[in-house]
Amino acid sequence: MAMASSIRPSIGRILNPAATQHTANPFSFLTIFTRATTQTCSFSTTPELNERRPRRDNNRLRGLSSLYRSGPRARTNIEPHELPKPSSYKKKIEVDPNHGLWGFFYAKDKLLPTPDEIKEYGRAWSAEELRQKGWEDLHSLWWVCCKEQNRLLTAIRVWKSLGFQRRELLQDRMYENKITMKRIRHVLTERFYLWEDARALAVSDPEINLADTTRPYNPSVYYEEQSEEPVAESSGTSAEQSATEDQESAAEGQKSVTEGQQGAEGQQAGAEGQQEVEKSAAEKVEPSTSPTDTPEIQQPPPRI
Amino acid sequence: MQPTQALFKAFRKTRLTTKDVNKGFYKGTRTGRMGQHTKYGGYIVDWSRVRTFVVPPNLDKFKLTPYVTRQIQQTKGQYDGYRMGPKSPELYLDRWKRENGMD
Repeated sequence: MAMASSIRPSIGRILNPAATQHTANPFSFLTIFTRATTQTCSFSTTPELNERRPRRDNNRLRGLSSLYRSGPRARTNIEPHELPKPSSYKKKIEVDPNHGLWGFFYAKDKLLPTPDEIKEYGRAWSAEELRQKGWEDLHSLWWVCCKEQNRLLTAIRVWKSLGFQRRELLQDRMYENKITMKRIRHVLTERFYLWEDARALAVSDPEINLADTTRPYNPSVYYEEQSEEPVAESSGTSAEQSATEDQESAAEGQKSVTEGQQGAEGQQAGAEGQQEVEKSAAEKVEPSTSPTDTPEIQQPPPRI
Repeated sequence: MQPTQALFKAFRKTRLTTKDVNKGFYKGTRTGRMGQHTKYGGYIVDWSRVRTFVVPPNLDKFKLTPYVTRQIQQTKGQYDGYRMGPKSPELYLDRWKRENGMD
């Protein structure tokens, strides 16, 4: 339709130039007739109405994105890095500072400890040192080792996820921790087997009468006791059970770093004031990894 | 990113997991046996085999750490006169007699 209407006037002009043109000038009248005899173009150079529309991008905001940080379309006086940044839209989550999950990390402000902090650890417990400890201490120590293992495994995972290489620092520390745990387990199984063997041996011991639950031990030679032994908390039904309990409470009294010396004292002086010793030792005990100025060399307990 | 493509026939070559096969295939998860089955399809739990983790009390006040300071050398215990050293039952018995026998 548009085509037909646009064609018609142009065709009309071509076909009837004399009718449309003003023939004021006689020369132009002549040129009309002269033109009719030469070659004429059958099309007009005037573009169609459809072609005469404004060729523009109707999308005024094409490419503008705050998500992809395209920057403004219009020219600005400022550099791109000076453009204002969007405000924080992330919700601030309040965290309980005493949450149990903090136990998986070394520090609350850092994901990972620094290599210098990782290197600060001692050596694993030796089996000999662990043999001095009673059940409660070993039980608690095992759990402490478990927690340390958790922290180390978290650190290893974070280390790996951040793409750091060379995990030897963490792995060596993990190794020491595992060795301690293995030795705790070894000491406990050894103690159990020892108890079983001792019970079997006690059957053939002339000084011990296992049938007598109140007083199984009748020593052949009596020594003069230096002091009155306070009765330890032993409500065991069988003598052997009470024996193990008391032995462990005796071992428990040797908690401090100078365990060897106290062990010697404990064995020589009997159970005198052992409860008082336990309490004072627990109060005065220093953490084993704290750096001390005077290194205390442990004396091996003299065994009779 | 594309979703994982389905395996189709390649699945036949993979190893069976606990989730495969409607019945007839059992694959454990290394947790161990905690009781026994009944012939009616039930299960009787043997509580002596079930693990219970006891948290020691006063763990936050516990002073010992997993490591010992390197300034203290490891010393060997002296077990003179005992045939098996720390593993000899005579040692255990002697110590019991000394510390505990007269209670």
